[in-house]
Amino acid sequence: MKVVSFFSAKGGTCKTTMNMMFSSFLKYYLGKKVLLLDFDSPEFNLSNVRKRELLYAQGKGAPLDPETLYPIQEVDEETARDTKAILDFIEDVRPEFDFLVMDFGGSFAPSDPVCQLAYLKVFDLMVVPVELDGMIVASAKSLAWTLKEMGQETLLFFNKVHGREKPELYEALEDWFRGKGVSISQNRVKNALNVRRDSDNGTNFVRSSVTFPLKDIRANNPGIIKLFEEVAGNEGMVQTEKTA
Amino acid sequence: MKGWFRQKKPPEKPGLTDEQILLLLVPRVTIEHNVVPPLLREQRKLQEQVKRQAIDVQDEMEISDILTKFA
Repeated sequence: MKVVSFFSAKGGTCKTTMNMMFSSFLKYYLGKKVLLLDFDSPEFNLSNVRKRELLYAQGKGAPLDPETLYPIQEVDEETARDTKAILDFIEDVRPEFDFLVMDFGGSFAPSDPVCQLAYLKVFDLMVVPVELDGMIVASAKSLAWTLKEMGQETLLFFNKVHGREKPELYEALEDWFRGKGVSISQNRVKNALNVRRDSDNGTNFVRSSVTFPLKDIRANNPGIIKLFEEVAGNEGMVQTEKTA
Repeated sequence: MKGWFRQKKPPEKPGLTDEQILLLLVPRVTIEHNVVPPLLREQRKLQEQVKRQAIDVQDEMEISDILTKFA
């Protein structure tokens, strides 16, 4: 079982969206067995999205069979702080799943579960979104450096790429990261927020994607598929027309 | 430390000298003050690592240069 988390020490960087989309990609595109752990207490946005989607499908007269979906497990704050309990849980589920994806809030203090688990090398890979903003670039580099010191494998990637910037800018920053000993993906992702929603057969209703496969993602945001393949270790499994 | 011993000194027991009482107490003091539980030691190491997250000024200047150059 591979343990992965899209994580950033800053809020609003699409952590939850990326964890959600990556889990859906693994399940609905690659047919993998996925467990998604939602540590973002007390909001539990991921599990709430799932509940809303199940209600939506039911309301449309086409209830979904939960067996066809991947499980989303809420982890309350008290349990999250019991590192031993989390480690035991991970060992218990290890034989059952191909991937364990974990979603955390945007904080990396020593007492935070994500920090404790990274320190204990629980993750096979932590994936950190970066944006074209000086503070976010510097913060991502510092986080990646700290994780590296802990012995945690980390991959950065540029998110919210809208294509109006000079490509040389991304290349220069990617080279800068590599010069600092930080791994950064060559796969750049357009704004993940734009593709997490999916129109309902031409109506205005939009929905997220913990329950349904994303439509047209390959055409709209091929970089995200390539990144997911890279993170999953399955490069080239899904055909894409072009990179972002 | 002397004050602490005076405070914690048990009631007079016939047959034990002050020196003997001190010998009995020292191991307890050593355990309480010098032995850091392994978990706590790990926690401190972790805190040290996380402290280094502080953003480097040099980094900020380099990033700013790149952003300006290709703006």
